[in-house]
Amino acid sequence: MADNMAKYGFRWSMSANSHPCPNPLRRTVADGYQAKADNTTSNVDLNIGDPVKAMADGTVALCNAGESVFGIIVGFEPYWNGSVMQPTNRLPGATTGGGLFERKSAALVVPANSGYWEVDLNAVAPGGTEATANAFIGENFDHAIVADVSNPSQPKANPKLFGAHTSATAQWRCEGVSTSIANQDFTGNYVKFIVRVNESQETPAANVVGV
Amino acid sequence: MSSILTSVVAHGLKETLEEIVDDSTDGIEAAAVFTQWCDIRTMEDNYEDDLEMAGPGYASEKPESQETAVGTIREGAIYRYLARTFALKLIVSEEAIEDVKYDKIIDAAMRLKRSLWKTADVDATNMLVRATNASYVYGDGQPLASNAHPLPNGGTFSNTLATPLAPSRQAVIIATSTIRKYPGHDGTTEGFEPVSILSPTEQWAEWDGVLLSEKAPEANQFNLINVANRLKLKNIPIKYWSNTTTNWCMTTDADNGPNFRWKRRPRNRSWVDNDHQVMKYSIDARWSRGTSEPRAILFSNA
Repeated sequence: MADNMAKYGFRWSMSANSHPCPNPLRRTVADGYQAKADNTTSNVDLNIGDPVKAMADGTVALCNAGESVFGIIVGFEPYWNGSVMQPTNRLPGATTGGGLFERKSAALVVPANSGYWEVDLNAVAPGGTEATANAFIGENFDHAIVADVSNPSQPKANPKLFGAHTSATAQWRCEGVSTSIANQDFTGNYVKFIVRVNESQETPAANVVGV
Repeated sequence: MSSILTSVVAHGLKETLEEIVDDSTDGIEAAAVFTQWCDIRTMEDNYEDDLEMAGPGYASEKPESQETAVGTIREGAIYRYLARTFALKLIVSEEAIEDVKYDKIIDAAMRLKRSLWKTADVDATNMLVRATNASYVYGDGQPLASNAHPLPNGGTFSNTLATPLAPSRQAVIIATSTIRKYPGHDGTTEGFEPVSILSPTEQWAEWDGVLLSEKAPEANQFNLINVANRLKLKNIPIKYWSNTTTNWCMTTDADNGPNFRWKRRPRNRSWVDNDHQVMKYSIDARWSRGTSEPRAILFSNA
């Protein structure tokens, strides 16, 4: 048995509306915000590929297991590192711009409901065969934030798809097994699935008042 | 991840770096392993079929004046090759293209080329990874390595060792003898010659010892000629063969064994999405791979 090559977080696979390009929105991150993994003890940075939820104050924060999803981080604007605005591929925890508008931290977020996303499973897929992996199609999953602190100076949320069940309240719906050749051994970890958001903060079929 | 934005390549926005430490993209096509053990061909149509045919076998002794016995030929399995498409694209913002100071960081064309050739290598190697997996069968209804490949006129034959053997001179001897007695499609003894040994990379040193020693590489046998050496076999270690360290297979000179058919060789494209002000780079290719001749290998499923 060999593990399949791991990839980080949620990756844009294809559009849900035929427009072949992810369309990010700018969302600020609250001053001093410190993301924590599901276990609430591991501090992690925000990284490209992390799922986020929309907060009441208009900012976004790491979306932990079971929470409704707003979108996926695909980039960052430069953040205030204490002395200058620093271009970055991650937003360190507890970053603060001191409340100044021009020093606000901001992430570029693609709404989860605008696409199909590829994500790794956080274990060996139950059954361990291509057939059993295909049987997950149509089932709902939560994701797990399983903190990767192997490089202590760059702690990552490391989101993965977690378990499989049919609960209507899970965050993601499995829409397919990734056709990436990286899915080489279904008895190994990190089998890649294609998912769509199931519990979205941006309800795609919202009731329109008055109609 | 999705698009390559300036934040994705944040450390390349100023000239502060000495080296970009990354996988090499030099000579990626030449470094492909599958070209060493697959017959590389092209295909013209959406799919291609190879047909197994079996001749009449042996002749009959004919008494004087009696009518000559009638033989016949028979169709066997159909091996179908469907062209499959593989593709990947990178989306790069204009800001990232303008601002990154190092060509090697984005290097979209070479990165895509590396991805596609690696994919071809892994896809070809899956023939070996899945060689004994009954979920991946060929035209005769059997996986690549099976002890029950059907013969068109009835009966079966095996292209897998009944008793798996570790890399050794004895393994080469038994495998070679088995191959030299393989039945033809008509069921008569045909026999082929061994050509090479495909193995997971972990076995390279053992095979070098077995195949390159002039004398038998076993203790107390050093005056015995090494027949494995006289066969002039080449070991091809396959680094993508990931599901085993103990399996291996011997290839033979039978035609139509493992082959790789390009329907469309790798093709690069690039275009601009003016709405998002991003550049898109893609690579795609179409190919099929498989085997129409189980006699082209002898597998050891250890």
